Amino acid sequence: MNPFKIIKNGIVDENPTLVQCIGLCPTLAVSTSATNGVGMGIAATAVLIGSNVAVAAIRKFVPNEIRIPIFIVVIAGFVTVVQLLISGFAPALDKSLGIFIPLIVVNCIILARAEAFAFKNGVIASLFDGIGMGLGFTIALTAMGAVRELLGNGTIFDVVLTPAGYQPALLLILAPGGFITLGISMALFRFYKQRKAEKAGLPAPENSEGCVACSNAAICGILGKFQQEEGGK
Amino acid sequence: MGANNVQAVPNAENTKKILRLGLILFTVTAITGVILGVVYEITLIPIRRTQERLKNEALAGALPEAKSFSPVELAPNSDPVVKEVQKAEQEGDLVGYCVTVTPRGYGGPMEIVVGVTKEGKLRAIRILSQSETPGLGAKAPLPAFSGQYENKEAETLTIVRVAPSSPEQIQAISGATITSNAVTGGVNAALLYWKQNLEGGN
Amino acid sequence: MNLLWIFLGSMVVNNIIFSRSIGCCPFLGVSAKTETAKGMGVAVIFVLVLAAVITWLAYYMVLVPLHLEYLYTLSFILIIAALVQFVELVLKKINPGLYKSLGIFLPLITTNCAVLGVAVINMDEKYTLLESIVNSLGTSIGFLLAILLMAGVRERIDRNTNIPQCLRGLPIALVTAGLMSIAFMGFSGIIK
Repeated sequence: MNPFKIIKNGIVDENPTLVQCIGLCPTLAVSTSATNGVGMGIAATAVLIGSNVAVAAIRKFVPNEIRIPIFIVVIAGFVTVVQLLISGFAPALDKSLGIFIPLIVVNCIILARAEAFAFKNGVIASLFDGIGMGLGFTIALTAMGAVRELLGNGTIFDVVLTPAGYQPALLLILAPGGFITLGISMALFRFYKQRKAEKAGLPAPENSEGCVACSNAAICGILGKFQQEEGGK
Repeated sequence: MGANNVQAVPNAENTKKILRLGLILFTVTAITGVILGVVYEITLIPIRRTQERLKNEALAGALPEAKSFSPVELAPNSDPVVKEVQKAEQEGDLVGYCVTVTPRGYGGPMEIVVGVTKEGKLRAIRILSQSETPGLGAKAPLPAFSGQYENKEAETLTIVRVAPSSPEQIQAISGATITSNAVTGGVNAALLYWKQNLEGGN
Repeated sequence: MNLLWIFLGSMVVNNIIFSRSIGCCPFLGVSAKTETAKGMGVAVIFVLVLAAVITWLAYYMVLVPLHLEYLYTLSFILIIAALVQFVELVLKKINPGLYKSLGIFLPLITTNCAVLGVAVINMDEKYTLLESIVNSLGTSIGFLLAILLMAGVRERIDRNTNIPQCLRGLPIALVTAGLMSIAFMGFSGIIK
């Protein structure tokens, strides 16, 4: 077990947003500014680390049949803790993230890591997996937030970066901007990976998408019905 | 979620298993509940303190001349948009009232503190909470918009899309007419409440 | 009038997908074919309305009297998970035909943030029980509308071979959703 490798895996190779394409709702909705992206990323990372560690710690006592409900309870517990902390110590963030804080519960990244990693690995490895995946999510979210904020409002982290005459493309920070920015980021990420594979003389990597390839298919229960192998490892 | 789909076959073995699983699930939930209760108790005080601080800042911003605020009972049958009224005083002398209104914005209810002087003049407003669209309606608390309400002498304000030409006009945030209308509607409701219930010192 | 406004508002103006960006995973995951999209949409209507009623009752009849409002996230998600399981069992027994067509979507709905999202919105907006039902009905019909439209477009896009490799599938679907979302923004000017 190499902590560095596990973390890198979360940020690049299996980046939850851009490669695994899961947890898209918060990505689309909250990446309206870089600040929101960081805030949401940290909140989700905290829940992810907590639930990963807790699931890894109790995995020996959890019967297989009811593991999913137990994961959900553990995750919901951590989300509530984070919720209480944010409303107590970061009220501005509480307002701007709004409904997306309780919705961290159903953020598939967290459930997916509990199922695919923490339930099968030790506490320490799960901790690093949580950090890596959380960072991958935070980086993707912040980058998207920065792009949308720059084009849509002329600022990054509320610092004005564009010349005075710049007319911000408001569309980018509205809902459509989220879809379009994510679509283009995903395409660019794939393009980069394709190029890399071509240079190494390897076949182009498979693009995962849809429920069939989603690493949550097993949890959702759609697995057996669509006859799909488990996405996570 | 298909995993715990235990078929309801009536045999002792199965019942025992279901009971055991139920018990484990219940235990985990109970432990989580207890932990959350503890965390809630710990964070209760900082949350209250933060909310109080924000509210006091809003009250002081809406009526800067006042030193102390005390809640006043709402008049019966008042507009439901009026949430609460605070009497604002400066060393025992009445300065005015802070009327908290909750009009519906684009993204949900907003909470606005409207400062009204004892003469019924609009002093200033502070937006306590809002969930408007970032970059558009969310700009409402900025001085560029909220500042327009300062010391306005009019009974009813209206929203215009261009630069205001008369004292009762407020320029809308560009692209966020619904938010601008909501804020102005809230302020008007507060002024009306003063006229109906607070005029003449009550 | 108020109810009509809530209904239309939640269906088109604040469309759960195109305006609030909630419930995008199933929206993107199950919208490749019209048939499956329809099944998913109908299943969501069913579960969402049911969940809204039960979470409303749980919040106002249990959590509020006990001053345990802060436990709403935990209770709502458990209620939804149990409800989905329950609906699946009941449906299997009383209407196997319907179960066959909707059954595979039901488990997927537990992790559909639209269901939890609407329950939380109903609570945040302090809707009455009737308003909650209308809001969740509008929201879920809006979801059906969105996923059906999307499936129709995607079926055509997927036949197009001119799209660059890296844009195929999800990326182009996201850009399409963005364009549809722009179209839906038009509704915000029509009502109110």
